Amino acid sequence: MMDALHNRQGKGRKGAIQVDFVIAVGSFLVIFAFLLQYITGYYAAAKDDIELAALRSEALGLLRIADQEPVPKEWTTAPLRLGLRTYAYRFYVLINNTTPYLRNPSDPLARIEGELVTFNYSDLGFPGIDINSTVIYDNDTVLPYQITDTNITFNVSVSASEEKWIVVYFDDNSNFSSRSSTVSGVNNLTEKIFAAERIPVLQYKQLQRLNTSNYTLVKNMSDIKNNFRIQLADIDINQTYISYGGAPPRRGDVISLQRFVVYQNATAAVRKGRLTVQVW
Amino acid sequence: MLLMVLVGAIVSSLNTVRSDFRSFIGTHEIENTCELIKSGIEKLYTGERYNSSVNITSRVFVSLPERIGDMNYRARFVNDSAIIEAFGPPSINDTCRIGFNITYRGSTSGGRTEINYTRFSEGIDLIFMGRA
Repeated sequence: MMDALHNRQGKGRKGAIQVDFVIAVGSFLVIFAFLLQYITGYYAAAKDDIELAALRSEALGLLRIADQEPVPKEWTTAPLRLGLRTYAYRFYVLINNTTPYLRNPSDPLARIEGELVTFNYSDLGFPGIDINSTVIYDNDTVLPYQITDTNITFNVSVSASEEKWIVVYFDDNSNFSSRSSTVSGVNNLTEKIFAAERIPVLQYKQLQRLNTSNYTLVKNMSDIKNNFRIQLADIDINQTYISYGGAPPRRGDVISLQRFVVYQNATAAVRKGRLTVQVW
Repeated sequence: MLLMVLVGAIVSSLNTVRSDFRSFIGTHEIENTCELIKSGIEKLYTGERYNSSVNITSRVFVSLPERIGDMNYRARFVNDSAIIEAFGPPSINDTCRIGFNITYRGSTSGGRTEINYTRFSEGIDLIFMGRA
């Protein structure tokens, strides 16, 4: 009888140990599953962060195309480096309708309609420029001009005792078409022309080259890892001037950066623009 | 026996997760590092217009990450590209094109890195990269 009692107690202890084992393994698995869920959740969040950082750094790299020229400059199929920048030049012309500037000092001060202004790029120290890239501004108004050999002539009306500043832009490595038109007027004043300064602009030729290129070839050749879109909008008329690349996805991570730039349009006009780069 | 199998499965799966994560993080961190090197060179390179009768040298210091994906790495130039290799496991590497028509030399293992640009009077350009 005692033996039977001992047997029953032994079997009971064995059963309890087995139950303990099952409970322990179960608890371990539950806790492990919880830990795994926690860790992979953290990993997923960290992966998202690093992916966003990589997209952002590539977007910043694309935004820098406004600061550099492409390599090679006259690329045809695709460049090794994307770039849109060129250097254009700007100088100011002062037309001062006061006595010291009158060619004939005995003339009375009066409003002059169509005062002729002529300059020559070689005399200014720029012998080899694209003369057709000349754009002349009177405030925001583009003035017509006449090209005669290598001389540029334009006219502007100026009131008595008025001081008028005209801005002239030109480029040295563009290929614009001629917009020369006949101008006429009088030459009663001596104008003052100031030295030209160099300014960075997004070149029309490079913008067109990019806009007509194959996106896939450019992406592969330039070693751009992610999909992208480059848009240039004209700020004054609020219109998109160029949109290059695919449309960003409706869902997913898209990094969008923008900066303000100065660009050349088809008539060599210098315009205010907004460059937007999207990478996904 | 069951426990050993269980522990083995858990260790194996965690190792796989860690390795995949490291590979993913490492690849993207390499892209970031590449952009840092490229932007440093862009700040220095004057382009082909600038000519000088004497050698001109300029330099910039770039703070590259000490490790990529918690792995040691090395960035070096090959032709006109930068190759960044992380010594795993897993081993990860990526090449990014710099693009400028310059001679590139040097390498770095991360951290504070000096990028040195020299325009020789003959018109030759040299970029040298090294740990500062």
